Amino acid sequence: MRWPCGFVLIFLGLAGFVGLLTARAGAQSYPSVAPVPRSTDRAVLRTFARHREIVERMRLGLAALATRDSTGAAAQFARAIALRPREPEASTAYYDLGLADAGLERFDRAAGDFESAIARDANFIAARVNLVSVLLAAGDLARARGAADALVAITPDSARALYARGIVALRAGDAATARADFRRLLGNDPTYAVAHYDLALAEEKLGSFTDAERELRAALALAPHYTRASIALGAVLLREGKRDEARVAFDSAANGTSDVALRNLALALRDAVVR
Amino acid sequence: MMRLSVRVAFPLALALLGLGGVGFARAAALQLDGLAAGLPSSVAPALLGPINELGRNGWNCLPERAAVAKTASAAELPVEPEP
Repeated sequence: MRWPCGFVLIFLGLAGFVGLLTARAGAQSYPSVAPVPRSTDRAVLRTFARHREIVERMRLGLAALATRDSTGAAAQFARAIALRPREPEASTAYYDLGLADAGLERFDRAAGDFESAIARDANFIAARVNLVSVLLAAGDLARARGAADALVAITPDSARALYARGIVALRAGDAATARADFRRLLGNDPTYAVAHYDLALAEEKLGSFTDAERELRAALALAPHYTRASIALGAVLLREGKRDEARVAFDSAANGTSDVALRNLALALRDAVVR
Repeated sequence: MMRLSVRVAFPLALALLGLGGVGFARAAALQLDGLAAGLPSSVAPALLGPINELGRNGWNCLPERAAVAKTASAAELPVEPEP
């Protein structure tokens, strides 16, 4: 007699959970077509018209973004926001306005736009990701670090979050955090050559030259024409006192790139190494 | 007059070449020191793309998926060397 009752409870629990997920998903989307008004009331009609204009402004803004018309896009999204949309329209409009402002290289304003999107929806991960990127572009390492910490706290296994905070930490001189983040990223995706390179930089800054050399060789095994990794390998080998191997690494960098500036740099470095 | 010019010009050219060589070597040595002191990190990730007027569709739109992806390719992270 107990078992059927238990099954019923489990079934009801599962049904409730599924319902909760569906409701949450529904709350993050809104219909593509404004509903047809079934009223002649002026206030109701005004609300419908406002909603319709928000949707159309968003569409026009996105079309402008697609043609790299950031000025036109920003104007459309700003107008949509001025119409005071509900969620998720409001956070989405701020997010897209952030992209338009970033396209105009107004990175401080873009950061403000993404922050406004996050203020309306704290779990808007894409907005948090882009916030870190525009703060990096603005050169504001302190705010970028704060935004990156918040991003990693919300989604600790996200490759974007770990990469972004690792880069911010490296540029700010926090090699220990960078090392932890790039190691974690590589734990999820060991084939990502760029993370091996950045992990090597962190190891080098922490004085772990053997580990740095290993990571750079891993990066080059995954991407043999990764010129910056070859140059970095040469520098690390010099730190280890392996001058002949360093010359080989610089030579390899010079031969592996069609970029004239990088090639000349690698050749100059090779020739500067005293045997 | 012509002889004098050649006499002066040849050593002068040698001296200039020598100075140029020293300058180049010094520049290379400085580059080597600078390189050892601070190699540049990789580039910052590009911005995730726009979200359309349909909204985030229950976290299932492309930018949100890329934002939480665990692998570099799914997350649209920078690639080296640039394709």
